[in-house]
Amino acid sequence: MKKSEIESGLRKCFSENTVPDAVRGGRENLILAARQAYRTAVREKRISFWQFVLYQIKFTGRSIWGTQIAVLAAIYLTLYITVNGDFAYLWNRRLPVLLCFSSVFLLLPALPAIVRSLRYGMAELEQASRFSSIHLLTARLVIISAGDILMLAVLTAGIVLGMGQSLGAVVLYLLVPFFLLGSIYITIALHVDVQHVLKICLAVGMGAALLFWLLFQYHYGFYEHSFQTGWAAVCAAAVICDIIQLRRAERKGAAEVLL
Amino acid sequence: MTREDKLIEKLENGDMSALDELISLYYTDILRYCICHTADRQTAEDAVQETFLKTVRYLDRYIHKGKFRAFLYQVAANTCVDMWRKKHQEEQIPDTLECLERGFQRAETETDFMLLVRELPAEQREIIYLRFAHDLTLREIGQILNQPLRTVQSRLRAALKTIKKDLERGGISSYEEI
Amino acid sequence: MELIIDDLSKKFKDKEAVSHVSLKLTPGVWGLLGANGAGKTTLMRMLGGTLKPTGGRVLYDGISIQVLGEKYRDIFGYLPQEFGFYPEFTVRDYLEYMAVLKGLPKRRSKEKIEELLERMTLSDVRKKKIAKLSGGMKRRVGIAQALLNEPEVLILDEPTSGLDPGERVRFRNLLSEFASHDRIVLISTHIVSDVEYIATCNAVMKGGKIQAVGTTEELVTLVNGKVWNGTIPAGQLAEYENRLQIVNLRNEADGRISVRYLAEKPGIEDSVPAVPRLEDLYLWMFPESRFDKEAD
Repeated sequence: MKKSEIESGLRKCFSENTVPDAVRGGRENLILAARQAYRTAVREKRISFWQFVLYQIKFTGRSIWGTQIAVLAAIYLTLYITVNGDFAYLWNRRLPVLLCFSSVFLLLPALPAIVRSLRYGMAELEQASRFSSIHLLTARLVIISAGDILMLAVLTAGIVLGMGQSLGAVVLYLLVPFFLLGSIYITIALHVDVQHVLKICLAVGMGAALLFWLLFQYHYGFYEHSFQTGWAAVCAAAVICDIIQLRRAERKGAAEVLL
Repeated sequence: MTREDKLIEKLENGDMSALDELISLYYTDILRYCICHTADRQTAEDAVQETFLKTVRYLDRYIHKGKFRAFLYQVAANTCVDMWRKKHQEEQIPDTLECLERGFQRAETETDFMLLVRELPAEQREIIYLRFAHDLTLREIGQILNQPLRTVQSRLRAALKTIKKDLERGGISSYEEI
Repeated sequence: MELIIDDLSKKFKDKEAVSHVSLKLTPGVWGLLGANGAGKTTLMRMLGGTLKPTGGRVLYDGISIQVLGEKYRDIFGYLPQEFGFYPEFTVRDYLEYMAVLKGLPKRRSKEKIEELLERMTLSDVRKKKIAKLSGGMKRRVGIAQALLNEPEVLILDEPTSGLDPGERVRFRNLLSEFASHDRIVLISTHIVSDVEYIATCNAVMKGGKIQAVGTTEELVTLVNGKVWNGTIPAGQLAEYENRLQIVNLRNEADGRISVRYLAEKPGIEDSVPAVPRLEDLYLWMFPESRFDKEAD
């Protein structure tokens, strides 16, 4: 006998041999009970993720945004003085380098926020709650990103409009390193044991700063490129990559890494 | 999106009739399953009731997963085991699929597969049942029985091979021989 | 409503912390007894879903908690042995923060927090920074947080550790209140008196395995005929301590010490068999923990 014949034979046999006789009234009662059960389940509703993010602002927002504003002010002042001030003739063409360094520093406030839970022993209870560590991380990243976007916008406007520099240079040397480095941090946060995340991120950040400095010393050509739209696509790709990683971690319930 | 996912979405938007439709869609199948996995009709009907109520309670877990069918059968499986344990605490759970033992009217097909299936070891029998009585995919069967896909595949293959061998050997094949 | 622990195991790099544990928890208070390192905390973390088992599974109402995911965490409350808090948190802040994490809508959480502050007698310190509270108060804040979402499964890991005797008694009274609700409460402890009178059932854990399960009366039969009372001269105490497993002792007026000890056969002349208690069973199973014993 062929396999397909066996399979159809089995199907036929089962359908002939296990069909229950007419269902008595059970289904109607069930449907009524099911409706009630569903209504009860709905009553035990919980808040949505975005409400969660909103409520997190009270706890995370103020400290993060405060730090970000401080860092922003410091960087802007530094840039203004070196590029427009008394040393303009020396530093003017160094703007790209300074922007690269700025991107590293702008990301610094984000790091302590990401590892806060472990540092203060809150991680276990957070993980055991409904939203758990991964959504908390995402919420924090959303809040941090909101601050970042504002910072970058203000800085870009300040440099382009306030100091008369080219927009292309700002995008290429501030935004691209910022988004790339940010993505690297997120990848580290999601895949490395949380005890080491801060150290490794700092190391990577300092490594990036070192790299920028070395390029400045030995391969200045790196800083003489001009902007092309491809680079904006790189930024977008980095953000999309972050979102995909976070979603995947959420689905996996990345418990042990984030604890 | 599967039909169930569409219904669940309608339900989320407040349309209770979608719940009725969802239950009606699977009522007979789950009833068949419970009859084959419990000791008597009354227990089976209780199991069906409990299965659907539990599934409704945890329904919104499945809006995005598309695995409603596997989930439903998983709940049914656990419920049937629970009901057995409640009534017969000391005894071991028997090989179920008692429906195969009952004297249903035999059709006039030449080959009595039921007898061959009954001879199979329990795990293979269950897989054959889920596959051919309920048309579940191997992946779904793996989830329901908490086995890896590879195991399900190999057991299914082994079962079909055994059946084929029995038939070729002339085993309990046709009525003419009896 | 049942929490079924089905052949659960957890293996770390070099050791198996939990080994093939199976238990069926029904509504009521359960004690999980064991010395430190017996695997209790690892087991509890797996029950909470914060640690993934290397074998077996946990079923709530017949469905795996991995599958239930947040729906399980919705009805789950947990108080770990050690927990921290962000330094700027007041009691109120902390409870609000946890309520948000548990997804409770604002109005409900406000009411619930008020109710819990009242019940745990924390109303007076609601605006105080948690860092400044005593150990007992911190624990009460911890329990309050575990109760925010009205859990059906409540897990407390060594809830009285580090508390002074007065706080411990108060805590025990609080715990016995939970027994009256329709929920599963699991309390792990190495202090037997914590659960002796409020737990309907106890499981004893050692080396990652469950060694015994039963009500206090059932478990105590395991040390039937092994508990004795005798008296010894005060000067010989050290000698007897080396020879016998002494559970309790008391100075008598006439320069003798009355001693309660565990042994297969009496090791002191004129010993009288004593009625065994749960604590005796515990010390029989964990002889090395005799020095951890808290005085009642």
